Amino acid sequence: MIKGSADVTVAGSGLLGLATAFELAQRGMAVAVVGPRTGPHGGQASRAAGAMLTVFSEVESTHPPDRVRVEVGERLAARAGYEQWLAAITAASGRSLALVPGVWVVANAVGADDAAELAAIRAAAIEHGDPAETADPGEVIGLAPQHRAHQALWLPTEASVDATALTAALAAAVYGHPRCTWTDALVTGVRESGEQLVVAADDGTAITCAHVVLAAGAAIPVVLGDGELAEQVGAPPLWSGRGTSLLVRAPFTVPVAIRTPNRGFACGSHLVPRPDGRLYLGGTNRLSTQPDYGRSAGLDEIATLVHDGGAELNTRLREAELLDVRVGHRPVTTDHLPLLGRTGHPMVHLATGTYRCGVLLAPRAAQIVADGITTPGRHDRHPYSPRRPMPAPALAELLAGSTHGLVEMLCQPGGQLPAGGAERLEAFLNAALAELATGRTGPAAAVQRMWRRAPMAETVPLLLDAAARVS
Amino acid sequence: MNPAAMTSTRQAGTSPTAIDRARLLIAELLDHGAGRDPAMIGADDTLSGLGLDSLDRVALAVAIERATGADLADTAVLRIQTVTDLAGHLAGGKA
Amino acid sequence: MVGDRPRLVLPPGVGNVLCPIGGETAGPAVGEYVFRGCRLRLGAAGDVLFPTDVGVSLLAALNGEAAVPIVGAQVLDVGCGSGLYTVALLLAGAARVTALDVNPACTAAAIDNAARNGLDPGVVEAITGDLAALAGPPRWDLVVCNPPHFPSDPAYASADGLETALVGGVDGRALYDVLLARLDDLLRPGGTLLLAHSSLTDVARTEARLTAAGYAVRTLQVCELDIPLRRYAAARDVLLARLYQLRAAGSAAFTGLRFEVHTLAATRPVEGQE
Repeated sequence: MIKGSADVTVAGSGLLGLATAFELAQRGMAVAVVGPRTGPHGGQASRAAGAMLTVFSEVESTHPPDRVRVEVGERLAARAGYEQWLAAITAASGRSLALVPGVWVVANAVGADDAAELAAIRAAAIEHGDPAETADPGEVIGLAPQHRAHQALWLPTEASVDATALTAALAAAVYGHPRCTWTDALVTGVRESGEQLVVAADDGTAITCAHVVLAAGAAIPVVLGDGELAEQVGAPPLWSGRGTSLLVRAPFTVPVAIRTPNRGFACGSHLVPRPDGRLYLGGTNRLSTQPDYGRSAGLDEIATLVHDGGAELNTRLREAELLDVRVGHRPVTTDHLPLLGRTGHPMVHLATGTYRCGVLLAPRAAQIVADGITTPGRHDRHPYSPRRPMPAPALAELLAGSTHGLVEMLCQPGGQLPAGGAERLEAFLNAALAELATGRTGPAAAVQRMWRRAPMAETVPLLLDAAARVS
Repeated sequence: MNPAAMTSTRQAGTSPTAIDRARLLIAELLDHGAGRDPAMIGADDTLSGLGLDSLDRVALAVAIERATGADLADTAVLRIQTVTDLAGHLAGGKA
Repeated sequence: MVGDRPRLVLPPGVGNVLCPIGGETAGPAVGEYVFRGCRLRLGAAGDVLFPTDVGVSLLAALNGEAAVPIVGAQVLDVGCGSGLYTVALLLAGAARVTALDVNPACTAAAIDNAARNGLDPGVVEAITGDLAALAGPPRWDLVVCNPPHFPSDPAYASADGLETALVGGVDGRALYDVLLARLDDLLRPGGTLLLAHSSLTDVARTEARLTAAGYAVRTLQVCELDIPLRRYAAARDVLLARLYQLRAAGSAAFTGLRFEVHTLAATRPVEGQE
C-alpha cells in the first residue's frame, strides 16, 4: 500500500527465508526479502544440500526418546504437507518440481554399530505408523561398495528432492509475487528506528519494516552483532556445520537415494539422484564457530567424500566425472534443534538452525514463523522456540559418546588402526580430554574456553586443535 | 628487530614490548609456529588478513587471560581486529 | 481513486513532526502550532493525550483550504482531547466551540488551553459526556473529530484516558459509527463534518455511508505517516495481528507501521436540495 515500507523483512534468501517470505506473502503480508538473488551463493546451505526428506533416517540410537518424539513429530508434519507445498511453488513459479519417493539406509562394518542405528530408525518409523522394511542389500540398485553392506532398510515415505532446483523455483515464486520485493544484496545489519526496524544491505539499501525474520543461517550472529538489539533478541548461539558435496556423472544408475546412518556428528555418505543421470554425493560435516563463506571446498573434504563414497556406496565412483563442488554452512544450535519463531524482541523472529533437515522442515518452519507474526503467542512454548534455555553439558558427560567418532574422524579418509588400536586411542583421548576439561594449563584453558562456547558433540574434534595451538 | 617494520602508528600508551609480544604470539600461531618472522607482521595488519582463524583466537584469548589475570569475554575477543588491538589487550590497557 | 488531492508525507521513524513536543522539564508536554497565521500553544499531561500527527494533519489540511467556512461558525469538537481543534478554530474566527469528551481531564484541559491562548472563557462550552447523549435539534455549523482508531484487544485493554483516545472497539470504528448515526442530529443543513479519518478504519465505508445519506464528500488531504503507537508500542505485535485481520477483510489499509490519514470534509445538503 505504501512504498518503501514492508510488513516483514526477511533477511536471508536460502530455503527457509524464501519459504517464510512465500508463506507470509500468501497470507497477505507485504514482504521485503534481502539476500543474494543472483550470483554463485557460495556457502549457502540450501543450494549445497542433497536433499533427502529424512523423517526417520536422521534418528540416532543415542538420541533420548523425548528428542526423537519431538523431532519426528515436526518432520512428519512437514512431510505431510510437502507435495502440496511443492505444487504451490510450481503454480507460482511455472517450474515443475518432483519428489523421488523412498530412501534406502544401508548398514556396514564401517560404523561402530550400524545395526543399532538401523534398528533405531526402524523403531521410530514403526512407532509413528510408517512403513520401514528390512531388505537384502543386494536389492539396492546402485549400491556396490568396497565394504559390503550387511543390512538395508527401505523407507518408502521418505523421499529426495533436488534442493538446488527447489530453491531456484521458490526464488522465482517469491521474486514474481506481487507482495514481495527483493533486494539482491547481503544483509549487513538490523537496527531499531523508533518503533520500527531497519534492515541494512551492503548495497546501501535500508528497509523500514514492522517485523524482521532472520533467516541468514550461520551468518545470523554477524548480522545481529552484539549491541542492544542483539541483547534484547537474546538469540541462542548458532554455529555452522560446514559441509561439502559433489555433483558427478557416474557410470551407474541410482534411481533412489541411498545413505548410511549418521554416526555421531558425521552425517554419513549419501547418493541422491538428480535429473539427466547426474548424481549428488554428500556430505562432510565439520563444526565451525566462525564460518567463512568465501572459503571453497578443501582437498581433505573432497578426498573424504570420494573415499567414503567408494568405500560405502559404490566403488565405480572413481570413474565418475566431476561436475560441481558445493560448500554449505548448515546452521546448528547447541541442542541441535531449530530456532523458529519469536525471540526476546517481539518484532524479531528467527527461521534457522535446521542443521541437516532444512529442506524437509522449510514449509513447516515457514508456518511456525508466519504464525508467530499473524497470531503472536501461539507457538511460545514450541520446542523450537528461540526463547528456550540451551543446555550446557559438562565436557565429561559427552566424552564417553564422542571419542569413538573422534577417532574415526582422525582416521578419515580411509585410515584404519589395527585391531585394538582404536580402542586404546579412544581410552587415551578420554583420559587426556578429561584432564584438560578441569586442568589449569594453557591447553586446558583453551579446551575449556572452546567448550564453553559450543558445548556439543561436534566441538570435540576442535578441542584437539584448540589445545595444540597453545604452548 | 627491524626498526623499519615498526613504522605504523602506535596507539598512545601501548609500549613497544606489547607490540613485540603480539607479533611473537601471532608468528607462533601462523604456519603452526614454523618460522614466520615476527618482524614481517605489521602493527596495523588485521588478524583475519594474516590468516588467523577462530581456533587461533581461542589461543590468543588464553594468552591474554594469562597475561592480565582477568577473564576476557568472547565478544571482546571478536572485536580484536589488528595486531595493535591485540597488543593493547596484552598490555592490560583495554577493558 | 487517486485524484489530485494534496499528499502530505511525514518522514518515517520520527514522531510528532507537525507539532513537536517541547516543554518544561518538570511539567506537562507543551507544543506550538501555527494555524491560519495564528500561533497556538497547547499543554497536555496525565490522562490527556498530547496531539499526535494524526490530529494535527487535519489542521494542516485546513491551513490553506478556504472552502471550509470557519469564521463565525458554531463548532462541535467531538472527543476534544487537549482542545487542539477547539483552540485552533476559535483563534481562526469560530464564534463558539462545544468541546465534548467522555474524559473529564480532557474537557478541563480544553478549558485550560483556551485560557492559555488568551481566549474568552465564554466562547468554550465544555461538556463531559458521551456523544450519544447529545440531543438535537442540530445546532452546529462545523463538527470536527479525530476519532480513536485501534481495534481493542484484552492484551492491551485498560480503562484510562489513553484507551479512550486511541482504541475504538472491536474494529476500531466505534466512534466513527456513532458519529455517522447521530450526524443529522448534530449538523445544521449546509454544515460540514471534518474528520481526521484513519486508513485503519475503512475510509471507503465512511465515504459510502455519507454519500448515501446525501452528503457531499471531499478528501481535502491524504497524509502518509507512521502509526503513532504511544504506549501501545509495547503490544504492537498483538495490535498488528488484529490489524492484519482487518486488512485481510478489506477494512484496514497500511504497510509495516505506515498508514494514511484522510482529512474528509462532508457537507450536509441545504434544505430543499437533493
